[in-house]
This record gives sequence, structure tokens and C-alpha cells, in this order.
Amino acid sequence: MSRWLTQFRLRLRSLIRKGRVDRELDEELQYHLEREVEHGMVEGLGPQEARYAALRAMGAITQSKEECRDMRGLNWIENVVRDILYAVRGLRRSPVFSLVVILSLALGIGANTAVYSVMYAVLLRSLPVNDPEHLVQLVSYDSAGDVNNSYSFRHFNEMKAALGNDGEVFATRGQSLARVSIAGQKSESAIVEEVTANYFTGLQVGASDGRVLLPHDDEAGGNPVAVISHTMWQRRFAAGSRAIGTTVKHKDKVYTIVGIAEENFHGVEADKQTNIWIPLTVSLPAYWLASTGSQVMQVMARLKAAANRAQLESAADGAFRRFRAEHFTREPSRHLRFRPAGAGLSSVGLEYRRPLLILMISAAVVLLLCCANVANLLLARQQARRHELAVRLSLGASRGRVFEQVLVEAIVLGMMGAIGGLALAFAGGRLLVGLLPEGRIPISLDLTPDLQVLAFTASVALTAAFAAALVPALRASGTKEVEGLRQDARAMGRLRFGKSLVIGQVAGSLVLLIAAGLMTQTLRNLRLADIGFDRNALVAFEASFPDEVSAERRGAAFRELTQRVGALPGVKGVTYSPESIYARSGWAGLAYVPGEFNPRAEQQVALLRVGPHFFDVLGIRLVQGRVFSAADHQPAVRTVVINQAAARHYFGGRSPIGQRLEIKGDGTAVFEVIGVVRDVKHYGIRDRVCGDRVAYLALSDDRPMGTILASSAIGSGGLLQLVRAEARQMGPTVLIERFRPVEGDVSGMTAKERMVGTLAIVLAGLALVLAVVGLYGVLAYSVGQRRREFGVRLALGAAPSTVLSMVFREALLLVGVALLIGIPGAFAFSRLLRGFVYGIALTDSNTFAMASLTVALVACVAALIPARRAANVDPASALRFE
Amino acid sequence: MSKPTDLVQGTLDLLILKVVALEPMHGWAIAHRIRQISSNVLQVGESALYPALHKLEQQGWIEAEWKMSENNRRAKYYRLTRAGSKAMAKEADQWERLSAAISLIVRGA
Repeated sequence: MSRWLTQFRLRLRSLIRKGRVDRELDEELQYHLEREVEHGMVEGLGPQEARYAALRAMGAITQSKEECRDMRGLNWIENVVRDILYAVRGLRRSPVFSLVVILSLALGIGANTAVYSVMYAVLLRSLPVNDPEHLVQLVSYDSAGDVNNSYSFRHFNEMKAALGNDGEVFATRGQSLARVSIAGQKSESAIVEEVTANYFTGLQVGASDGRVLLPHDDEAGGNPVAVISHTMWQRRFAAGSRAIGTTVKHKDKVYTIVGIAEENFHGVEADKQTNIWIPLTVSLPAYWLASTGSQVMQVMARLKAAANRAQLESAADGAFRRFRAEHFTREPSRHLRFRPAGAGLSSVGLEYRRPLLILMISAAVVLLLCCANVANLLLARQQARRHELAVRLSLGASRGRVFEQVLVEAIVLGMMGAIGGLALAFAGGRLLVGLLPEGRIPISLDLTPDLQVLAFTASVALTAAFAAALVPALRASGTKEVEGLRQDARAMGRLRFGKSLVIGQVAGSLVLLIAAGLMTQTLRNLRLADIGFDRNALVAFEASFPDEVSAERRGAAFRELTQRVGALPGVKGVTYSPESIYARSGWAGLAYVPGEFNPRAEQQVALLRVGPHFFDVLGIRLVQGRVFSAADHQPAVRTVVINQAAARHYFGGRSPIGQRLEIKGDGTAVFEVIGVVRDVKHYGIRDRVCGDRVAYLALSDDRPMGTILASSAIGSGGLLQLVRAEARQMGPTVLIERFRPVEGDVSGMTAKERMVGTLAIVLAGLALVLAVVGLYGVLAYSVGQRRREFGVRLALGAAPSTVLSMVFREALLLVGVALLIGIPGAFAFSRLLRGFVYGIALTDSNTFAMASLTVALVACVAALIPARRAANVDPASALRFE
Repeated sequence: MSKPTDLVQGTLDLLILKVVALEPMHGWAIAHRIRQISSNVLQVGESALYPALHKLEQQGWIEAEWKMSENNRRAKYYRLTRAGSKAMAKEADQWERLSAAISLIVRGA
């Protein structure tokens, strides 16, 4: 053991005290020389002769020094450093080669890093809390795998009791953009999150000033306190002021700020940043807290480290099912599971998991294509330097060192490519995030390169460099000292390797092209799909009135505003609705023929409360009966308009007009059906919500509210000005907010598909370019090798077109083999897109055919220049060519 | 460049260990002593000697120390370690068996 230590110490000393060790060696050898001279003189030689004799006897001093150093064993580090310097010098001498390789690598690495950094920010990065691996979210699954993660307050309490001391169960209602008034000043927008009082203790997030919400804040009806985020404090409060004790008014309730959260904590969703936390026991109305129907909370828990996770899961599941058995008898059974939530609840993440995965695979394919091109380039370079290599080998370089040197060169290129790639990725990542849909809350992802992302980039770069350099390095170290192998044989080998690489490249780009084609068609289908109302002429906006205006006055003001807007030139109609006409979620209730309430049957309907002229303004076609008239919008009138799907479901073939439906939404009442309208997709083109059944209820005139919708012929920019002018005339504090064309909301729902589609097209384009470059390289080399053959043919009288067609045939042969591999590959890859594509089959023959044709065409383009060169071969010089 | 064959290298190591076992010496003295004892038959050049010395030092069989030499100059003295003396015994044993076997064949047939 101590011997090993001594050895190690010696090796370390050689490395660290290299200069000193070398000088010692010099001194030792110098001493030896002097003694030899002395000895010579003692033997009788003169001083000069003695010196000569000694030098002759000592032979090559440098060699001995080198061998001594070798014995010391840490030479390989010196070697690597020397190789790096040599590689850098060599690359500087061939700038074009270096630039091309570095750019190719940067493209491939950059694409991968961009996708990974978004994935990381959205899915993987842990919340800034202690032990994020102990955080879980409670989600329920039914037998079909459908996920639900919203619970009512009562349900939450049951599950909390079930976990007892082994887990801190807390909940959040989610973030919403709201208007608040701070310290009695003008109201402003802020992102508010309503949480249970043990939210902060569950997450183990502390306060940077004051205190956070504590469990006792939920008792006795709730303590109206609030916590603000560090960012909000910095942004909104004057530097240095404490903010604690300031009041915040939110929806008619006043809260007192008691603390500022830790820096860097912004809530549990990675892509949204909360400004203010308030206890939901205060902010939610009492009947919501007591009802079982208001399922608005997402529940998380921090499990104790020592707890048995499986046991806790089944305890929570038991409580979950018991509650459901008591209160939701009609729904199919679900079971509860814990989902790791160390990275938060990102709803963006859950939705985007698959598309991001698809993008990662595509980016990896592009990287492979890059590597193939780089490998070919390295091979060509090594071929050109084979004489130098042969000389080096004959001078005594070991094959291991040659292998190492080629590898080091590739790694240097790889690292530089990585730096370029990081820059590209930074820009590209922003682009990706820009394509994410903006809901009501702007998404702010922190994309600054993390250590993890940098590590990822470095490892990708190393892998790429290694993969690209492997074959060239093996070839280089296999060079014979004397060029024993005939040149033709070597060239054949290289050509075969190059061709197989190119076939892989073409196949890869074919797969990506097909995926991109499927996505493009899907996007087109989504854009043109008929959603049932006229979205092109509609604009939507919200109006907010100053807080001093009382509830009754607010109703009159709202009505006045809608009348004014309706009177504007170019506006064809105005209506309003508190529910979204096109959104992912909405309001639902139960509906059934009175007396036929059947717990087991499907009786959910989507509910929309609408203002006057709703169906006219939206352009929803009436099928039977009539739409709401002014009389229907009076209070206490109970009429309902249903859509075709609902009519079919409840009344079959009979006419529903005049029939009665009992509707359980906000309370229960019986309504008379007065009309049937066409089915409208209010919840997205793909999703089937409540069996597509929709019931429209008339909002009574005395309480108008919601989003105002206007159908107009003039552009939204001009209309905004006019509407604002009307609002100003009504009073200085009437604000028009979120004025937007409804078309934007609609296309926002397909943002997921658009993001994947755009990126798939970009990556496919990249892949195609890389394949073309690779194909050109191989064909050019092949033509170069076959010059003599072409020369002979031309000399014997063949027409140039024959030679041309030979080259094209070679290109098409490569493409043919690539198709054989690529088409099955595309079948497999497109399976990943299942559930994604819309209006087109996964194996759409048109797409496959078009992609194959494109690839063939591109191959011919790549073959053009080499073919022309082949046809222009001068037979005389070709035959002379050695 | 060809490295010394195993046979020669191993033998040189044994010679060095034997010489150093008697008393600590510097490199030149070791070469000189080997020449002397073998009556000038074995002439070890520094190109073989010093790499062998450094290797033996690396293996921990000898230790080095800078001391004043007989002509008042600094020189690096090598000394046998305990591990080295064990190794030396083993190598000497092996050499005896090897040389005996070779002698049998050379003299016999």
C-alpha cells in the first residue's frame, strides 16, 4: 500500500514539479558525463580526447532523457496537451475545413441543446425548495388513463386527513390574472394564487422578510393575510420600503401583507410567476368551500422522508374513493396515484411532454447526419495527409498516439462546435418559447443556460466528435508505413464507407420529411376546420369599471357600453358571455329530463350563459325552434337553447321544442327548450367535452357580465380606438382590457401542433441540406475515382449523355436503398405522432410519395455537378492520370 | 525505437539491485562497479542505466537521495528498499534457474 503511495507521489511530482524534475535529470546526466571524462583522464587520455570518448560512450542523451521521463508514467497528459496544440495549429492552417466542420457541428449541437433546454426548463428543473424529490401531486386516473387533477375543498380535506402526519397535504387553486388594489391606490393587474394556509410549510419555502402563510391562517374562517413574491416587492414597492402591513384589495376582500417570499420562488408552475398568495379559505365563497361540485384545486403533498410511499398512496386512494362513492355515484371509478412533482405542476409540461420528445428525437437525427458529414470530411482530410502519417509512423510514433491525435483533433473541433451550438441554442430556445401559446398569463420560462444544460451540451459535443472521428482515427492508425496497399483498394474502402453513411443520411432526412409533411397537413386541417361559428369577424374584450361603482350601477354601465359599441359604424352586432366561447375549459352541469335522473347515465352538459343576440353575432345556425328574444333575457324566465348533440341525446327522434329539461348548474331548475342550434366546438377542435352536448342559458338583463363579443367589418386596430373612445366618453376610469380578435384565441389552442410542426419542418429542412451535402461529396469522390473509366468510355465513342446517366443512376441507386430503409423507419416514427395528427392518416400515401419524390429530386440536384464533370472528362488526360 | 529485450532489461535490474544492496551509490558509480566486477565484460551505457534506475525508483524497489559525492559535487544516490531486497531475492532465484537451464542446453546438445 505504501509502495503505491510512493509511486503515486512520484508521478504527481513528475507532473507538478516538471521543471524541477527535468533539471534534476539534467544534473544527474551531467554528473555522469563529468565522471566519465575524469575516468578517461585517469586512464591516460588528454582532456579533449577524454571528453570526446565520454560523449561517444554516452550516445544520445535526449533519448535517455525521454526514456527516463517515460518511466515516470504521467506522460500521457503531456501528450494530450501537445496533441491539442498540434491540432489547433493544423486547423488554423486549413480554415475552410475547420469552419465547415465547426458550423455543421454547431448546427447539430445547437438544435439539440435548444430543445433540451426548453424540456429542462419545462419538465425537469426542480423547484427551488428543499428536497424536491419528496413532493408529489395527487392525480386520479380512470381505466382509460384519463387524468384528472382537480378536487373540491371537501375532497382535499378528506385526503389530508388520510395522510395524517406522514405527509403535509396542501393545495392551490392555480394562478389567475386579477385586478388588485394595493394600499388603496388605482387597481392594477397582478397574478394571484389562492392557496391553503399550509402551502408554504408544505413546500418548505420561507420568507425573506416577515412571515409566510402558516397553517393557523386557515382557522376560524380564515385570516385575511397575503404574501407577495420577492420580484413583486422589488418591482412594485419603492426601494427599501417594507411593504409589510400594506393592504391589498382583491375581489371585495381586503388582505394585509404579512411577508415577502424567498427570492426565486414563484409558485409551483415552472412557466408562470405568482405575485401574490392569499388563503383560499378567505377568497373563495363559503358555498364553494362546502360544495362537492366546485373542483378547482390542485393538490400536492410533501411526504416525510421515512414514510412508506406505497402505503400512503393506498391510504390516500382509499379516502379518495370513499368520498367519490358518497358523492359521485354515477361516474366511472377512478384511482388516485402520486405523481412526482419535484419540478412543479407545469401544465405546459404535461401537455408538451410528447411533442418535446418528438422534437428531441428529430434533433438527434439531425445531429447524426451532421456527424456523418463531419466523419466524411475528417476521412478526406486524413486521406490527404496519409504521407505525413506514414512518415510519422516510420519515425517511431506509436499507432496509439496517431489514433489519439486524430481523436483529439475531432474533440477540439467538437468543443468549438459546442460553443457555436450554445449560441445558436440560446437564440433558438427563445424562438421555441415564443411559439408556446400565451393563455391569459404570459409564460416566462427561465432559459438561461443552467449547469445541467451546459453539461448536456458538452456531452453531446464529445459524443458527436467521438462518433465522427472513430472511423477516420481507426483508418489513420491503420496506415501502413510503406504504402503497401494499392491505392485503388483504399479508395474503394473509403467509397463504401461514404456511401453507407450517405444512405443513412438520406433515409434519416426522409423520415423527418414525412413527419414534417404529416404535421403541415395537420396544421392546415386545423386551421380550416369548421368550428361552428364565424371566428373571423369577431373581436372580444373585457371591460372593467372603477371600484367605486356599485353593483347595480355596474350593470347599467355594462349595458350602456354594449349599446354604444353596437352603435359604432362597422359593428354588425354585440353580445356578451361570462363563459369563454372558445377555450380549453368551461362550465358544466347536469341535465336530464325531469323525473328521469339516472345516476348511471351520461348526463353532463356544457353550460354557457349568453347575452342578447348571441347566436346572430356568432353566426351559429338555428336548426329548429327559435333563439332567445328580449323576453327570454328577463329575470326568472327559464328557457334554454340546446345544440343538436344534446337534442339527439335527450330526445332521440322527437322534437325537443317545448320539452322540459332539469338543469343542475348554479342551483337546480327546470327549463323549457325553445330552440336547437348547430353543434359548435367551444372547447377545441379535437376534444370531446360532455359528449359534445351544450346548453345555452339566457343571461338576465339586470346582471349583464362577462366578455363582450362584437362582430365587425373593420379591422381590430381601428375598432379598438373607437371602442376606447366610447369608453372614455362614459367615464375616465372605464377600462377596455384584452382587446383581441377571437381568431387569435382559436389559433392559440393549436399552438402545440404549430410549435411541433414548425420545428419539424425546420429540422427536416436541415436534414435535407445535410443529406445533399453528403451526397454531393460522395458522388464527387466516386466520379473522381472513376475518371479513367469515363475517359475510356468517351474515347471509345460513348455519348456524354451516357456518362451523365451513369452518374445519375448511381445517385438514384443510393436513394433507392435509402428509401428501402427510410420508409419502414418513417412508419415507425410516425407512430409517435398518433393522437397528434388531424384529418390525415398516419400512413397517408400522398405524403409518403411526395417525400420520396422530393428526396429523389434533391439527389438529382446533388448529382448535377459531379455528372457534368464526368461528362466533361477529357479522355486523353484521364487515361494519362496516375 | 526498439526497447531493450525483456531478458536484458530484467538482468540489468538485477545487477543494479545487487550493486546497490552493498551500499548506496550514484548512477556512474553503479555502472563503474558493474564494469569492474565483470572485468569490463558488461559495459552499461547511461542510455540503458538511467531509464532502468528511474523505473526501479518508480516501482519502489530503490530510493533516491541527493548527497555530496566524493569529488565535492552533488549527486543522486540510490539505496535499496525493503521491498527491493525481497524483489532482488526473487529475481536472483529466477536468474539462477534460467541460466542453469540455458547452460544445460548450450553445453549439452
